[in-house]
Parts: sequence; C-alpha cells; structure tokens
Amino acid sequence: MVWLALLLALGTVLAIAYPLVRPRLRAAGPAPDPEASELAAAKESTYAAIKELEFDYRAGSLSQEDYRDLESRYKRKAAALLQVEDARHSEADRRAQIEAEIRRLRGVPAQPPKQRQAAPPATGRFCTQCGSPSDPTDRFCANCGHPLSKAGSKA
Amino acid sequence: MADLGYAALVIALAAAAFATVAPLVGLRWRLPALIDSGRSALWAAASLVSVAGLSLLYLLATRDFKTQYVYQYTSSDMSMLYTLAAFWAGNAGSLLFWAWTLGLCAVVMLIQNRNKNQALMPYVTAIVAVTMGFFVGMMVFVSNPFDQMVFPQAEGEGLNPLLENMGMFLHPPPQLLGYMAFTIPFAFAVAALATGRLGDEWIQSIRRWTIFAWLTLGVGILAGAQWAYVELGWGGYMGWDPVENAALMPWLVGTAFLHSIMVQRRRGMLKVWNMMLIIFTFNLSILGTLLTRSGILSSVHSFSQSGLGPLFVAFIAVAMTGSLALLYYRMPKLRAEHELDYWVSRESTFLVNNLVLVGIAFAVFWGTMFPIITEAVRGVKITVGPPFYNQVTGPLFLILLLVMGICPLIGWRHASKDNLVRNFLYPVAFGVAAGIILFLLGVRKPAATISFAVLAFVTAGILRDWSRAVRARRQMRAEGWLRAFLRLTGSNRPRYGGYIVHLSVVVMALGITGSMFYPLETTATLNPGETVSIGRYVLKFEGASEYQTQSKQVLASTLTVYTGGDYLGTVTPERYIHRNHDNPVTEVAIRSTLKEDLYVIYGGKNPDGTATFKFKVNPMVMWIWIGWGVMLLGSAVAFWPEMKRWTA
Repeated sequence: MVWLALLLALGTVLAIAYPLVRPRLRAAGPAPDPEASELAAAKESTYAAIKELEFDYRAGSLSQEDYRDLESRYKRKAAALLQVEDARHSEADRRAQIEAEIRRLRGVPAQPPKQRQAAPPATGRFCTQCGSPSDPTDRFCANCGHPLSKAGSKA
Repeated sequence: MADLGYAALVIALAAAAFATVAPLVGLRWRLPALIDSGRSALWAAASLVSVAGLSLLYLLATRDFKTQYVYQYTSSDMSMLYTLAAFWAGNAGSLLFWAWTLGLCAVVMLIQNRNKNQALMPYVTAIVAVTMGFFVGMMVFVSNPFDQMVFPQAEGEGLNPLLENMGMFLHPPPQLLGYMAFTIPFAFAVAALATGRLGDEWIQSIRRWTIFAWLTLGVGILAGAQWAYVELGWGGYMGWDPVENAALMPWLVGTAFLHSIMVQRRRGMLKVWNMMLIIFTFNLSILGTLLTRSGILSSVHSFSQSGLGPLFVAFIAVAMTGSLALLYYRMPKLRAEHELDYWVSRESTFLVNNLVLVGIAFAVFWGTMFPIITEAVRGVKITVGPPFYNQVTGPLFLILLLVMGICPLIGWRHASKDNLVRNFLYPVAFGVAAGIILFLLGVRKPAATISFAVLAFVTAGILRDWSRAVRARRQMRAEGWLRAFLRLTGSNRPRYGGYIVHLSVVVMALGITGSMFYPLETTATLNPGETVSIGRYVLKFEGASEYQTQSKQVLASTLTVYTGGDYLGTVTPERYIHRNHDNPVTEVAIRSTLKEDLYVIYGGKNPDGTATFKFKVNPMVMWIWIGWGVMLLGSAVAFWPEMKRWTA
C-alpha cells in the first residue's frame, strides 16, 4: 500500500513537472490570440442578436420602427467589429512583411508572406421592391424592409 | 485501501495548492510553462480525488467495518445499492463527493478550454483549484472519510432508515453536484474581473455551465420535495426546512443570473449586477454545503453534526470579500453600453424578474438565518415557520409568474401601444376567461383564482408567441407545420428550451396552487370494519397486523377505498421500527391521480384494538412531478450545443 501511495506521489510530481521541462514547441502554430477570441465572441453575440431581432419582428413582438432602429444599431456594431478585425489582420500582414524584410536582410531565405483570402467582391444586388442597392448578405432591404431572396434579386 | 485513499487526498491537497499558486505566479513572471504546469496540477488533483473516491466506494462495497465511516453508515443487511449510496450519507463522504464532482467538472472544463480562453484560464484554474483544495483540506485535517476504528467491530450501525428510499439516489447526488457546478461560472466571472476582459467571452463560456448547475440543483430540490412527500409523512413537499432553503437560495439567484446574462448579451446592460449575481450564487452554494453539513440549524437533514462550520464561514468570507473587492476595482470598466430606453420593454421585465427572484432569495435567507440572528442578539433561537415563508414568498412568486407571461410578449427596448394591444389581447382575454370560469365552477379563494388566471395567461402568451414564430417561419420558407416547429425550436434552442422550462413552471405552479389552497385533512381512530369519509372517498379499516423482517418490525394496516359506492382498491399504510434506530418510520400510502392524491398515514394501534390514522386529500400534486419531467426536457433542449451556423 505504501508503494502504491509513493507511486501516486511520483506520478503527480511527474505530471506537474513535465510542462516545466519539456521543450516549448511553439512552432507547431501561433499561440491562440486572446484578442481574436474576444472579438469572435462579440461578433457571435451580435449576430445572434440580429437573428433574434429579425424573428421578434417577424413574430410581431417588435414594431417596424424599433426593428429598424435596433437592427441598424447591431449592424453598425457588427460592422465596427469586422473593421477592427480587418485592421488587426492588416496589422498582422504588415508585421509579417517586416519579418520577411528582416529575414531577407539577414540572408535567410524569404518565406512567402501569408496571403489572406480577399473577400469576394460584392455582387450588385438590388431590392425588387424599391430598387435600392443592398449588401449581398442582407436578408431585408435596408430601405423598405422588403425581404430579399437568397439567390439574390439581382438587377 | 483506506491508507491509499487518505494518501491520495494528501497528495491531491498538495497538487491543488500548486494549481492555485502556479498559474498566478506564471502570469506575474511571464512563465507560460508554469501556467501549463498549474493546469496539469489541477488534472492531477482531480485524478487523485477520483482515486480517493474509488477507494471509499471499494471500502463500502467490501463492507470494511474497520473504517469508521463504513461502520457508521452501513451494515451487512443493507442491499449493495444503498451500501454504496452511504457514500454521501455522512459529512466526510459528502465532502469527498463534493471534491470528486468538482474535480470531474474541472476536468471537463479543462478539456473544453484547452485551446480557448487563454487569457482567462490561469485565473479559472486557480479559483477552481483553491475551491477544490478547500474541500480536500477539510477531509485531510478535520473530517477524514478514511479514519480507522480504534476498536474494530464486526457489524456496522447501518443507514438511517429514512435514507433507504429511491430518493437517496435522486436527491442528494444532483443537489450536491449542482452546488459544485456553480464554481465554474464563478471562476470565469472572477477571471473576467481579474483580467478586465469583461465582454461577451466569459458569458459565452459559462452559459451552458450555468444551465447545467441550475438544472442539477433544481432536479435535486424537486427530488427532495418528492422524497419528503412520500417518506416524511407530514403530507407536504416543501417544509421550508433550513437545508431545503439552503438549496433554494443559490437556485433562485442562479435563476436570476441565467436570465440577466441574456440582457447583457443582447443589450450590454446589467454587467455589474450580473457579476454580483454570480458571486452571490457561488457563495450561497458554499453556504448551502455549510448548512447541509454543519448542523448549525436544526433540520430534518441533521443526520450528523460536526465542527466544520467556522472553516466554511472563513472560506465564504474570503471568497466574498475577494470577489466583491475585485468587482469594485473593475467598476469603471463595467459601464452599461445602453441605458434602459423605455420602461415598458423586455429589458424591464427581465429587471423585474431579477428583483423578484433576488427578493424571494433574500426573504428565504432572512427566514433561514433568523434563528442564528435572534440567538446572537437576544440569546434565544426564534424559528420562523412555513406561514412566514408562504405569506412572504407567495405573492412574489405570483408576480414572477406574471412577468414570465409578459416577457415574451414585449419586444426589446420599446413596446409600442399597438404592439401591446395586439400581443396582449388574446392571452389576457384567455386568462380572464379562465378566472371567470373557475370562479363559476366554485374556485372562489381569491389568491387561488388569481393564480390560476395568471397561469392561463402565461400559457396563452407562450403558446401564442411560439405559434406566431412557427407561422413566420412557414411564410419565410414553405415548410409544414411540424417541420417548421421542429426547425424553429432547433434554430434557437436556448430560447425555446427556456419556453419549455417556463411551461414546466406553469405545470408545477398548477400543482402547488391546487395543493396549497384546497387540501383536505382529517384524523380518525377506527375499529376494524369502521369507515371514514374524506372528500369523495370512503375508507374502510380492514385490520392491522405486525411482523418481523431481518432489520425491522413492520406494523401494517389495510384499508379499502371506495368512491360513490365503487370499489377503488386497497391501501396499506405502515410503520417501521428499525432494529438500530429508535424513531419509528412512517411508510405513507398514496393513491395518486391527476386530480388529487389520497394520502394515508398510519399512527399505530391503540391498546383497545382501535387504530389511529391521518387522512389527507392533496389536489393536483401529481402535476408538480409532471412539471419536473417537462423541466428536464426543456433544460436539455436549452443545454444542447448550438450548431455553428447562422444560416438557419
């Protein structure tokens, strides 16, 4: 029994000590970025809020005026979050370029800088009701509130 | 095996201490390896506590009466299931159960967050570890489940016979687990305060943990109510006993938290309030463990007393001051993003819901603590009974129900006049009609009629909102009714799971209202062959008998039940006198229908050959247990992970 207890103690010490002595393999990937996860969480709540608003409006527990107002607030918030995200990405790109430059100056073979996927160009979409232009992701016309079909009511 | 269990606890204490300190030091000195090491230490502590837990199970299963805990709570004539259930029958075992379940929660939490919440995790690890260390420390230093007998005995004392009931499996485990599971949301809240990352991130990480803790605690409370109803023989399901109250308080505040985080997610309001709620929920949970296990307040649960009290109080004091100080420090960062724009809005219904829930919790707290307070101030313990609780909380619960009906009918931010008229017309009309019809049918106690009318209103409101949403979905994407209903529910599980839970509350409230306002009760001393009538029942006493079993003497009686001349069946209420326990145990006979329960308690045989009985008719009690099932279903729907798609 004593041996078993000693074994438990030994196992515990090893488990606790292992992270301290193992080589830090950070090359496996960049450390997860805490800011990014906070942004993602904020984005998720905002999208969920927009989705629920739409439903409340459809189900009649929200007046059209309030729906418009709240929806535009949340959309502004979502847009602001996306802008922050973009700014962070371009910041990351700039850093990568500087890193590549330094490596070039030091004579290390250059790595191609990471390319971010560019967003697909916005398709020209227009509301079939009032003709005002709309975003490809919009489900309702921002001008008159007419539902936009999924395939896109392209003009 | 006992030595191994104790050794595992001692090592677990060291590991938990390391897991508390290492992540914080690692953060301070920027040593990520130390943070990882702290995480491993928490894993190790959880595993070691599991070793201790399995050791105690082994000792119980092998009926090792050399171990004091096994001796105190089991005997060889007990079935294996109850022998194992003795794990949580006493103090030391409950502490181990808590530490073990907290360890399991910690492991699940660590796995969930291995690549997430990197900034919060060091603090979360430390908070969970210190809580676990507290419980393990109590076992190592004060109440050791592996203590050996000084004079070993060949036979154990056995379990308190009241505990030999299915309730032993349904009531304590979820309730004890619920207390512990609130540690995880609390740890994330403290981490959010410590790091200043007070956005949506921590709230999203704990939503399901909160539902889980809330549900398990709720299931435990209701199982306890059911157990008290069938076993204690006082004819009620809620006696406002201190230990019941102890579970009710964190559950009520947790309910408030579960609702107000929705307001924070949608509208960025109530941030400080939410922090307060989770801090109080956690501390009330620890207070719950204290009240359950200290014997400070006399209770039907006082199966044992111990000197754990002061340590618990010290832990709560530290947790409370620490987290409130942190909250005060972060106050400037917790400003609301929006103000309350209009008083008639969904936000304000949430606010009322919160205030009422916290108000009820405070009333319960006051009533529970009253004996302690009066003893401290005037030297006399004054206990407040069920009438106090019923009078104070009854109206508050009614307001709560009303708000529950109003909330889904009002939009966020601002409800316009047409919106109000359009949404409220049918539900209000339905509620009023239900009230009038019930009044005409003879339900004339004002409180009961109002309560039933409110319940009808709430049901109509929920169903109306739901059906309109289904209709809206059908319009949007040509689906059949059933498909639209299922898809809709699946597309927003937290919301519709919540609606199902609300409906379950309505069902339970039906049962509670019915049984509170319209119970019948009579006591009778009968000769064999005599009859007694109560409500629509006529009962005939057929005879009494006595016999011995291995562990107890059984006093049995048989009565036949008739209604309007029709034979319904027989009931056999009994009394047990156990070999090892002085107090006789009543074994109530209950005949349940959806309409009412016939509840018969056998008081025993008198020297002159007569027998004494207490008869009760409790209307609609069955609905409480049905509501319990519906609540499980609704919580499961809300708990189910949401799919990561926004195209629904």
